[in-house]
Amino acid sequence: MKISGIITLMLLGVFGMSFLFPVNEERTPQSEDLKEIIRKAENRMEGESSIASMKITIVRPKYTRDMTLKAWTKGDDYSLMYIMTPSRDQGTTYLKRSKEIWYYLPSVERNIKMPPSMMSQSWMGTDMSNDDLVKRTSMANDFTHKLLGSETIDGHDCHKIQLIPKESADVIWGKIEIWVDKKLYNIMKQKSYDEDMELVNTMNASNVKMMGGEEIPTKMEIVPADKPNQKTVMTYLSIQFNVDIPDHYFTTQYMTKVKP
Amino acid sequence: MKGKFFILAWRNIWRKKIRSFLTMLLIGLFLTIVIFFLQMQKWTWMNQIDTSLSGYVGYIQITDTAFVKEKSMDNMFSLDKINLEELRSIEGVRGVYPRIQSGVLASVGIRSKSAGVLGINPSDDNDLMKLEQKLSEGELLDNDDDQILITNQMAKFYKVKVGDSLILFGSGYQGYTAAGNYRIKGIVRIPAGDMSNMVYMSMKEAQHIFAANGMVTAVLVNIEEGADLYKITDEVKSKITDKSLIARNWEEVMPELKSGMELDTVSNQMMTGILLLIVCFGIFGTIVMTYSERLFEFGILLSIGMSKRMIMLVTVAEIYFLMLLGVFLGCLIVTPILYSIHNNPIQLTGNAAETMIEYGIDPIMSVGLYPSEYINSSMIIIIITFIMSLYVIFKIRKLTPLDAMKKH
Repeated sequence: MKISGIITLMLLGVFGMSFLFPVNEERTPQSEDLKEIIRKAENRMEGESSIASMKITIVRPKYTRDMTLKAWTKGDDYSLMYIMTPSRDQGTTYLKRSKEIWYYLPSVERNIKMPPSMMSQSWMGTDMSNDDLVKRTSMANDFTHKLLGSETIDGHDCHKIQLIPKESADVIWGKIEIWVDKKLYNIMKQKSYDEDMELVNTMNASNVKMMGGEEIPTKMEIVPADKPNQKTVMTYLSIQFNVDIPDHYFTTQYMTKVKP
Repeated sequence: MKGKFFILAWRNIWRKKIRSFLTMLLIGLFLTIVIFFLQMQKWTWMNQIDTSLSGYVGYIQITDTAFVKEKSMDNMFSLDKINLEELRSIEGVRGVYPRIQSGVLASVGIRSKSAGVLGINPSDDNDLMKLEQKLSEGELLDNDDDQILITNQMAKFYKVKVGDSLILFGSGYQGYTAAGNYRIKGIVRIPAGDMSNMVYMSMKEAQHIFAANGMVTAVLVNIEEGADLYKITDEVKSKITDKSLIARNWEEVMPELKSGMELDTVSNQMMTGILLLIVCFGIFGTIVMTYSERLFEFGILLSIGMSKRMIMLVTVAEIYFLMLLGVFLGCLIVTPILYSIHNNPIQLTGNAAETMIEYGIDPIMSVGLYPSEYINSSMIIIIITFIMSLYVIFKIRKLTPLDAMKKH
C-alpha cells in the first residue's frame, strides 16, 4: 500500500511535470536512432550492385582535366572502372577486389598490382587516395555519434552529426562531421579531420535528382583543406541499381578485355 | 737611424741560431699540419658536394616557383622560358643540365614497387654522373634512346637482367596517365641511397611518357671548381626573366647539407684550437726568452741613451721576423706535399672504399689548393704573435736601467 502510494505519487509528479515542460513536437533523434540514420545513409549509395557512368573533373590551380568512366560495383568489396576519355588514357582499367587494387594499362598490355607502399598515393590524379577507396570503415559501427543540430544543405534539411572513432576502430580520422538529409538519408556534406582535429577535406554533394529509381545527389566534390584552388568533382551521368553483375567481371583476366 | 732597427733585429735573430730555428720550425710545422688538414677537409667537402650536387641537385637549380613547395609533375616548366646558351656563357659555369625527375610504379610480373625516374641528356650526363664507371652490365643510353638504365639494386629486386623489360606506371604532366614498357639497356652499380632506386631514361623518352613535350622539372647549373657560387647565382637570377621561374643555389635547396658542413667545420676548428694552444706556448716561450735573456743588455742600452721606443721596435721586429719566416717555412713545406697529393689522389681500398662507392663518392682521398685556407691559417699565427708581443712591450715600458742590470 505504502509503496504503491509512492509510485502513484511519482507518476503523478512526472505527469504534472510534463504539463509544465511540454515535450517538443519534433523529437530529436537519440543515440540509437542516430546509428540507424547513419546506417541508412551509408546504404544509400552502396546498394547490392550498380552500374554507373560518371565524369570526374580534376581542378588544379593551373589546369582542369576531365575524364569519363564507367564503373561496375558489387557490394563493398568489388568494383571495376573503365576509363572512356581522354583518349590518351582510354582503356585504362581499375579493379578493386577487397583490399587489393589492380590496374590494367592498354599501352603496355599488362596488369599491375598497386603495392601497399603506394596506397596513400593519389588515385588516378584525383584528390582521393587509393586507401580512401579500399579502406572500409563503418560509420555506423566504428564511431560514436553525437547530434550537433540541423542545417540546410543545397535546399535539403539535414541532421548535422559528429562522429568520433571508437578506441578499437582502425580509422585514420580524428573526427568526421556529416550532414544527413532528414527525409532521403543522403549524405549531403562530410568534413573529415585528422588526429590533431585539423580539417583534411570536405565533401559537398548537390544536384539531388531522380536517377536509377532513387533520389540521390548526382554531383559530389572533394575539396582538400590544405590545397587552395584544388578539388575533384564527380558527376553521375547515369546509374542503375541492383543490376546482376557476373562475378567474373571482378577478375584480373576480365579487366584486360572490358567492353564498356 | 730610423731604418737601422731592422738590421739590428735581423742580426739579433741569428745570435741564437738554434733557438730561432726551432721557433721557426714550430710555427712552420704547425702551419703545415693545420693547412694540410684544412685543405683536406675542404677538398673532402667540396668533393662530396660535387658528387651529391652536380648530378642530381645542381649547384644552382632553376625550377618553377611552385616546384619549390610541391615537387609534382604539374609544376614542370617549358624549356622555352630560359635560354640555355646564355646560361652556359656565364663565366664560371661548367655546364647546364635540364632534368625530369619523378616517381612511378615500376613493375615486373607481380613484383611492383615505387621508383624514381630521371630524364637525362645522355650526351652530357653520362660524363657528369660518371655512369660509365658505374655501369656493370649492358650499355649506356644515347640521346634518342627508348630504353632504360636501372640500378643493380632494382635488378636484384625484380630479378631482371639486361634485355628484360620493366613496366613504368605513374601520373604524368597535368594528370595524364604515364605508362610504358621499357627494355633494360644497362645496369648501373649504385648500391645505396636514394639514387639506388632510380630508372634512367633519355630526356626525349621521359617527356614522352610523362606527356610533357619540351618540359622539364628542373635545370641544373654547375659551376667550376673554386668559382664564386653567390656571384654566379646572382648572375643566373638576372638572366631568368620569366616571373614563374626561380633560381636557387644548393645552400637554399639543401640547407641540411650546409648545416652538416658547418658542424664538421666546428669539430675541425676545435682540433685547430688545440694545435694553436701548443703553438701559443711555443711562441710565448721564445718571446719570454728574448726578453729575459737580454735584460742586462737592455739595461746597458738604456744607460747609454737608447730610447725605450727603439728597444721595443727592435725586439718586436725580431719577433715578427721570426714569425714571418716561420709562416714562410710552413707554406714552403706544405705546398709541395699538397701539390703532389692533389695531382695524384690516394686511391682507397678495402671496406672504406666500398662504403664510399655505395654512397656514390669516388674512393679517393685528396687535398685542395685553396688560397683561402693558407690565408686563414697564416692570419691566426700573425694575430697570436701580435697579442703575445704586447708582453714584451709592457715589460720594456716598465724597465729601469738599474733593475735591468741588477744581478739576480
